Amino acid sequence: MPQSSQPPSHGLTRNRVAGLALVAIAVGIIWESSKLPLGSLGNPGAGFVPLVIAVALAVFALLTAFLDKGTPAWRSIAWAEAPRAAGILAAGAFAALAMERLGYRITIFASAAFLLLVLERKPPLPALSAALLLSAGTYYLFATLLRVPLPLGPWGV
Amino acid sequence: MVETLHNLALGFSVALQPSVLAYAVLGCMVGTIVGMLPGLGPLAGISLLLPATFGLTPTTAIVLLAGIYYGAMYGGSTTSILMRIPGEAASVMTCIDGYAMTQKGRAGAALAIAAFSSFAAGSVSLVALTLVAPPLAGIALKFGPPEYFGLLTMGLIVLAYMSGGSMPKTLSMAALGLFLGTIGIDQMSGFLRFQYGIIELGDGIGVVPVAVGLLGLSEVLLVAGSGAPAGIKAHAWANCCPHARRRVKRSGRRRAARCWAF
Repeated sequence: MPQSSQPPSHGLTRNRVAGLALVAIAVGIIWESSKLPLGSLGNPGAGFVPLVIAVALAVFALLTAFLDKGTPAWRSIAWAEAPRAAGILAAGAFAALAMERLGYRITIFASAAFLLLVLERKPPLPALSAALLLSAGTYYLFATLLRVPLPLGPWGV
Repeated sequence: MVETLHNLALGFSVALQPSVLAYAVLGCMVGTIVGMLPGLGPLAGISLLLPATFGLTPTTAIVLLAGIYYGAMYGGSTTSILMRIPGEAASVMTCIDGYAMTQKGRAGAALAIAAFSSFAAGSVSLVALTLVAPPLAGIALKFGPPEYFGLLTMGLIVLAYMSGGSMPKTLSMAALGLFLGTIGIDQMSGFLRFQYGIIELGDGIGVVPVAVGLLGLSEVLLVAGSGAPAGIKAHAWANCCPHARRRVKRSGRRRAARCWAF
């Protein structure tokens, strides 16, 4: 995303939002690390290294936020393609969660059909044909030819 | 050294047989296709295609697997260049220049450069490995935890120095990457860190899922924040390699096709 074309801002900028988000992640890591045995510098426990890394992350994130040299304002982001991006992420999350439950073929078919029909707005018949071909073709390649164990869904599909 | 050269000559006499070369070409083609698939790198490709070598002689099997390895190494750069999603961890850096060339309509040239670079670097490294492997092995055996720590620290410093953007941002991402590396079993104490009852996280998060996933995620976020879909210039097929383009200008597309096939 070209930043130079946007006017510099001194309020809530992109880098400041990113820096503060990373600080929040660092605080979360510190909180979780405190539940692990910390040990000492000479004999570090399981939580010692994550704690040190989280502190370093917080410091660098604060530097990112406060040494910001006028990057464009957070409000200047158009978000015009946000629904499309959310759809892609949702399809990815669905595929990751459904793979073991629905099986490889159904999951890939559903994900590809969703991406082609809903996001790409392709005609139904070519989109469903392509999704079916992708699902069955890759299953044949990996599971049948290369004997990679892929998850099966209900009714052994 | 004389013994090494003698062994090399013997190796070449076997490797340059037509049938062995044919298996090398086949392995490169299959490996390139496997390498294009996100998440499947050279090692995964070799593991997947190992059953295909069961009926072959040891020499042809090794040559086929070597072809798959090098093909997959190159194939990983294809998705990096065309989609900014690395096929495997080693092709992450190809995303930077390769995708920029794709956006300017020079995807074919980028792919050709990647292919030539892959061939040149692979050849040079093979020769270097042949000559310096024994002394290098001696040095490698002297490496202990302090040396590894120093090497990793130097890697992080070079990363921060080489990145063109903001240094605090780069160091933040390096710290986040180091944190992701701590997920799983602590090798010193055997304690499970950040597992939350998920068995798969006990083994940690691999480099390939992180590299491929985060590159893809960053692209999705860039799309989300953009005002319009990212445009990629359509390019003429004649631009696929600089030599082909010159030939098209000079004497037609048939010669360019021959050049491309070569």
